Amino acid sequence: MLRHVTHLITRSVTTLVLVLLAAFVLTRIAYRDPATMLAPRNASQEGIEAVARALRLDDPWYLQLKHYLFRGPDIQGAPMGLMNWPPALGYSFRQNTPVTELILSKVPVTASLALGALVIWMTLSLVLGVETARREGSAVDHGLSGLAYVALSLPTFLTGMLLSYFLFFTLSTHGLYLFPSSGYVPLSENPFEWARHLLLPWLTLAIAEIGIFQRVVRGSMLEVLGTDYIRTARAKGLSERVVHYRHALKAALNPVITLGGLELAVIMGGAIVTETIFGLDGVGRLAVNAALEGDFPVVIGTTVFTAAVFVACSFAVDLITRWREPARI
Amino acid sequence: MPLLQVENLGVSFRSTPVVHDVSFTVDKARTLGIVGESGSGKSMSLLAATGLLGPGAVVNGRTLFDGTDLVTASPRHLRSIRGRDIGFVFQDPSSNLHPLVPIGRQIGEALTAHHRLDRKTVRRRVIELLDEVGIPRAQERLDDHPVHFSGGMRQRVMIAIALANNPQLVIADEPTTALDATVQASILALLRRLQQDHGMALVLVSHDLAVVSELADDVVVMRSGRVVESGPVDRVYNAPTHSYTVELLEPLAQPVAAPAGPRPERPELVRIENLTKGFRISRKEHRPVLWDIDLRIGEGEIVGLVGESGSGKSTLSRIVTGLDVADTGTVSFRGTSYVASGKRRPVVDPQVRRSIQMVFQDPYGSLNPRRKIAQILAAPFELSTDLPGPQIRRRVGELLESVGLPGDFVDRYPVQLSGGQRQRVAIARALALDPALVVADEPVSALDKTTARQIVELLRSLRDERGTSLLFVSHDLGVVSALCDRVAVLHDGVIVEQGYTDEVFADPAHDYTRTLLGAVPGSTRKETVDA
Amino acid sequence: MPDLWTEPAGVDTLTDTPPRNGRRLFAALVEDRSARLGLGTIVLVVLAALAAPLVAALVGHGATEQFRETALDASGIPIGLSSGFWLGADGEGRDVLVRTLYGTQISLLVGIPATTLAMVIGTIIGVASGLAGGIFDRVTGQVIDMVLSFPFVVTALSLLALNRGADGRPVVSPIVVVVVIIAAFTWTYFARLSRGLTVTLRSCPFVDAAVTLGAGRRWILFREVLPNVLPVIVVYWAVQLPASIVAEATLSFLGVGIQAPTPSLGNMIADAQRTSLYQVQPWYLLGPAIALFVIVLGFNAFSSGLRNVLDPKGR
Repeated sequence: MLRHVTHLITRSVTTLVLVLLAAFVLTRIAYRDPATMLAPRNASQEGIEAVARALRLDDPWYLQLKHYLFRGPDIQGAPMGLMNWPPALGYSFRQNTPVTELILSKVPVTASLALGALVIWMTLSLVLGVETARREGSAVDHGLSGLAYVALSLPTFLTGMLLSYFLFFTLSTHGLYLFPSSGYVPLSENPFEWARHLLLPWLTLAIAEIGIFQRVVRGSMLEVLGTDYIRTARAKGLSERVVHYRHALKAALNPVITLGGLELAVIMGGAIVTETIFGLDGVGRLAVNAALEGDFPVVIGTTVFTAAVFVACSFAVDLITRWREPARI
Repeated sequence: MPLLQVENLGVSFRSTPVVHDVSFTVDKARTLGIVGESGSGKSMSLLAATGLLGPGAVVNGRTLFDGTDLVTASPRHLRSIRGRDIGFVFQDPSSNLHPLVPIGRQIGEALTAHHRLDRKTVRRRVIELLDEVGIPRAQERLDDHPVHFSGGMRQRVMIAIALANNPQLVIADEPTTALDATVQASILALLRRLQQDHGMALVLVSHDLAVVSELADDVVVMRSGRVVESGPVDRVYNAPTHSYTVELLEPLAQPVAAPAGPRPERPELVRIENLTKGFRISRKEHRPVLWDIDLRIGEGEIVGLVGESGSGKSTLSRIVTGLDVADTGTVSFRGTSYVASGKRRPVVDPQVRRSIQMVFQDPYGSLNPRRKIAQILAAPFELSTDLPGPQIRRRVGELLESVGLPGDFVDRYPVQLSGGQRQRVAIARALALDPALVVADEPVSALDKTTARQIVELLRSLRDERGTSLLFVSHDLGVVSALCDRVAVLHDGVIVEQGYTDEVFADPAHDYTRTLLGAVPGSTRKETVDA
Repeated sequence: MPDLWTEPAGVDTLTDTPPRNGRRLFAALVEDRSARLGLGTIVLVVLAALAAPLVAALVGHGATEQFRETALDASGIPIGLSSGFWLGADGEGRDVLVRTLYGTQISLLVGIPATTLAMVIGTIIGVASGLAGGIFDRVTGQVIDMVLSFPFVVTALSLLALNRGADGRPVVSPIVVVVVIIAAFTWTYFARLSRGLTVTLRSCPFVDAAVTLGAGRRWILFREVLPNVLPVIVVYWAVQLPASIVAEATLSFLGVGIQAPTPSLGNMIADAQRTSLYQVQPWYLLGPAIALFVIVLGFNAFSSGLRNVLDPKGR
């Protein structure tokens, strides 16, 4: 077991390192003239050159990388590269704040969005999947699975807009201000408002995911329901509910967990569309705006952050899956 | 009044009738055996009657259990009977138990499904049951999962589940089919003892008449969904009235008798010397699978390799066929060594490759599902000869004929053939290049008796007509004794005994061989009858 | 990292029906309800896309031409359903129907090549990885892990920034760039899938049988492994295709894929949302939205039917 964990860690770290390098090279190639993009509008040629010097943009890329890793932006003379502690992901060109700080300030929003949606879509998908598997081939099965299909076929931005239109706009024209149109209220400030503001974004994400997960749960359940040990469970005289929810579901969960970890990581990396539509100031929007503005430390930083989340989720999924399996002697 | 009374039972599954007009009875504390080949409907009848076949099964007729008609009973009522008044033991120990739940809980569940009991009582009772079915150190093993037990042990757990609530009837559906001979004997003995101790009725379903004869008082013979004969087991076995029963009772083939004159001299074809192979589990651990194997196969000789699962017989057959390498030792073909030892991948001279072919155990997996029979059988010619297309087609036709399959099978896909037909195609493929040696790894284990008999005859004719040698790997002593000139007994990776079949089986020198021979079902009953 | 490599393969697809090729495949597809529905929808969509220039000529409006006098009223509100503009106009006075049809073209022109490119690259790498094993396999696995960790939109943005020439205009057609970007992200799914299948197939008895008959690596690849891998891959192509179409729409929606004035269903929806004019001219939004929904639903239904026919025991 220990050997496996070490192996996982090695792989994860290698991935992160590769991502970092790739992101660095990518942004360095992609943004041909960042100095001009970042300098104030009417800067003169010297002004632009000064910006370039200050940000060391004229150095060859490997020197820039070295600087990024070891020296970092000079903040009050203290070195703040990635290899120092605390690891710093550089300094935003635009906003004059350390990237780490920027990202961390947006994380609560994205995390609230992702985790809340996860709870909603997982619960609903599990129930829908089990119940449609139970009634395979029936009208209920066809109906519910068909609905899931429709959900699957709706792009997130469309769902978001439709929900926004029907549940915010139409309701508010009738005087019912049930849901706000945008904005975020931190959990610590007001839990009720926090949930109320996040409800529509949660639904937007959840609907799309239910489309995917209901099928996965149903498929996995159908496979399990054909096994001998389910027949043994019935031979014991157990009720159908116990057979399905306790025995079958337990065995059917693995693909659900694996996929769940992946999807969670993707959303944590930035549910950009949802954040845009509902005006949530999360990591996704931060990254997109930075990319549009050429603020590449932020781009690299958010990319590494996303990769780290992905790696962490995959790691967790692997460990959970292994833990569920009975230990080999 | 009989405990279980089946009257005119009919079962249709997805609008195809599978059981017609079946009737039999089971009395209290008696054992009924139901025999038949696969597809005879022997399992279906009882599974359908107790509601275990699911909504796709339509059942008509009557099945009276202790006064209630199970066919018309509500699902709820059936659920209360299952596990409490009727216990079940199913066939496959590797898939019968939930892989993710500890066995203590799986057994406990059988109890709590029907009675309200507190945790301590459940635990105590589970330990009692495990002791009773012969699982050592029951208390420590409550939290172990099925994967930590051997096949035989898992079947004992299954029996414990069946017995948990002291049922009046236990239905055992092929309980020992997936087990080795020695383990099979112990499970049957366990069932017999439990039945005597608890006084329950037992229905034993099996395709193996010998197994049934070990335990049953009465027997029902089924074929194609109908009962062809029934009665007390002694009468049916000694004086069968139906031709099908007669056919079933015939052994697979007559055992090879000691030859009248001197045994024929056979020049050496394949020689295995000092062969050792192990598998590396981790950097430090090395598990030996074969140890110091010495085996000789002569030209035109049929050699049997007998062993139980885990003995290493499959590994050995793969090495002989050139699919795996050994760690040390040599394997030579007509004097030339062809298996490299110590390398990572096998490298075999093409000429030798053509001369040694294999028939695999699994008829389902040995044919590429996406290729037609024509393509599968043409492959050997395309790979190893320069024959033009039309000639290949002709040879393919000849091959099909030689294994007794119709010519129009060339356009079929493997999935359209039965297991026996697929195995014949596999044999035809192995014969295509006229090999000197065919290695057959359990070629008839997955087949019905009638089909198995035909395949065995086919293999014997190969040697008789073409002089092809055969290495016949099997755990079935009956077939081996009928087919093989010489036999080698493999136990835990070591050949414990080798020699002419009739001599070895008549007077085994090694303890293990003796155990194997004694474990053949039917032999113990014969003893009690004779005694 | 979960061992994403070891996905269960659908090799034991020994179903009750023989493998279908060619004409029999088509017949089976027509019989399956999902496939029939999907296929019908796809045919309609393709026809609509092809009909774009015809319709444009018919009504006399190009895709990017603005007709401010005829389409917008005094306060700039676009006209709704009318004889001149069959689906009304958008905020710039352009014909919504014509733009929707051209947008459908773009969806197909991006989605199909992107998915196909990903399938070809991914399958080659995956099968090679599965057969070769060893270092090559491990390195490929690491590369795939890396690609999967990259956030899609942000990276796409950076890559699109690459496409900006000295004068700020795109160097290569944005369509090509979007195709390459989507392919660059989705090849990994094909690689993972085909690798898993190949690894399982490699240890199947029929492969062993081929070896004993003298088969070399090439035979095993083309005659034994690929015929079993391809049906599953083709089904996955059909599953992934709607996802690629949505990916293009999302990029365009965010303003970074296909950009105005070129019509893409995504950027049309974005325009509608941004200006909020859909509240008075709902077809401004509904035109492209319904079109996008129908396209994706059609391909989803088709892929489901295709799976039923080609790979019934598949997940």
